[in-house]
Amino acid sequence: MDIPMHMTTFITSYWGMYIAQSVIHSIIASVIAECAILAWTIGSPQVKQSFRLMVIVLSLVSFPIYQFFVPRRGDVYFRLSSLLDSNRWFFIERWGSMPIFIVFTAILAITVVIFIIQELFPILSDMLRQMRTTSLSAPYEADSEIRSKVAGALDGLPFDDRLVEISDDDDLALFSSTGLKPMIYVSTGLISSFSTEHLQVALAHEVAHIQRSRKPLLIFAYLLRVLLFFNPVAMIEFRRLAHEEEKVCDDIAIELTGKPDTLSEAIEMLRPAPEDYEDPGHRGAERLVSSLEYHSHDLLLRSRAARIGRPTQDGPFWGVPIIVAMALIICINYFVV
Amino acid sequence: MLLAAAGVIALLAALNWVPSLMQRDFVKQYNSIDEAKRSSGITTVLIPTYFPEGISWPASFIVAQKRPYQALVMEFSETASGKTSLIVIQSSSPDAEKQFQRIRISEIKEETEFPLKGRSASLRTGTCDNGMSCSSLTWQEGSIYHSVLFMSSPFELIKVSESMIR
Repeated sequence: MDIPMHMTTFITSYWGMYIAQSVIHSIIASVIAECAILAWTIGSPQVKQSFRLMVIVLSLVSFPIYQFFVPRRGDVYFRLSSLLDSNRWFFIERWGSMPIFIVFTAILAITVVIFIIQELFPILSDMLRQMRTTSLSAPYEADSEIRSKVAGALDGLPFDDRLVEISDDDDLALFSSTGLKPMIYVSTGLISSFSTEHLQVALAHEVAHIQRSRKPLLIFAYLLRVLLFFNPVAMIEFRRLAHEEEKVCDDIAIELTGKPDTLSEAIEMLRPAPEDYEDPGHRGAERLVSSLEYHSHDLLLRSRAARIGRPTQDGPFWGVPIIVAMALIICINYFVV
Repeated sequence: MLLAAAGVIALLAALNWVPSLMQRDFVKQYNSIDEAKRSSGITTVLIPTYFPEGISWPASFIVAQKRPYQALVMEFSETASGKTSLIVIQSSSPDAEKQFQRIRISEIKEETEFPLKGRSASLRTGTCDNGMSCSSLTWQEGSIYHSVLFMSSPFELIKVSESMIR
């Protein structure tokens, strides 16, 4: 069977090459970055974030830069002498004359669906919900005992207790919003379950998020990730970067409170019970998604609790591994078309 | 770290080689036109019988492919300088010219319809991306698109193209 002409036209077009090379370049960048982290035994989550961000940035900009300086990079003669020519794989026909490019396209399509369902839709619906709740509902007035416990926990932390909003909820909920008027939201369930010390380290972690939002690395990375909505590697790297952010905030919380063991205990207390994710109404795929959510959330909390107390400071020359890794990625990816 | 990078390079090179074991129709360089013709699957390959003075036979560079579309490219070079001067592309895709033309017209000065032995061809003259004046002629013959590019005025190009059609 002949490969449809519109498919070959798209693959050899600028945007077709951009999509293909962005994904392949990001795989190579991710592998090299991971090797660099292992080779230089990098432990600091902040330095790891720099590696993750580098992978996302290079996936986004490397192709246009290469093409700008070498416009003939995509032609047959360059491909003949390249290190890896993606077209050689895309046009292999398998499973009844189906080109492998179709499988590649399916992977990108799944990534786009995950992006819309898990990242774009929740953000948009949350924004809408926030707009509605601020205009319609009155805030919950907590009793003085709960208020004083929160005030006690915030004692010594650089945060005003008037900017803590308490919600009447038995679940263990704690999160913060950033922006012009940063807020910490905490549930009555968490306040009553935690001791003042545990509450203090948990609040210190949220204060760290608010302090870090003044240098919004995550927002910048997210914007780049949105531009690479089709790229599964960019999705994974962004999520790993967000996980590292939690670890950075754990380190700041320890600096603020000086209580690493208490923070570790607080994180253990936040680990979900399996039954929290088991909804009897869930069947098949819903059940699987729910189980995956539980395991990934639990894994993150376990890894956070386990690393607390371990020294993760890297040497003063941590920029060298990043520069070396970046140079290697740029050189290798140039010959991958 | 450098060892890991060397490992990545070796892996990529292996990945580039594996498809040729699974399917043998991808773009490849050939030593003879007959070999390239067999590989491309193009049944009627048009070969020029007239060559302007200073252009050497046989072709200095030949590539062909069957997948994703049929294509065969012959490059002829100047005897004195060894530089590519004449490029003949035959393909089942109209996009092949963009992919296979090592030298392209960067500035078109004139584009006209030209009757080439009863076929309607498109004649373009201008300056190529190597800075030299050049001209090209493209036409379709059945399902195959033909393109001839020559580093000179259109007069010799037309003679070369006409010599391909019997």
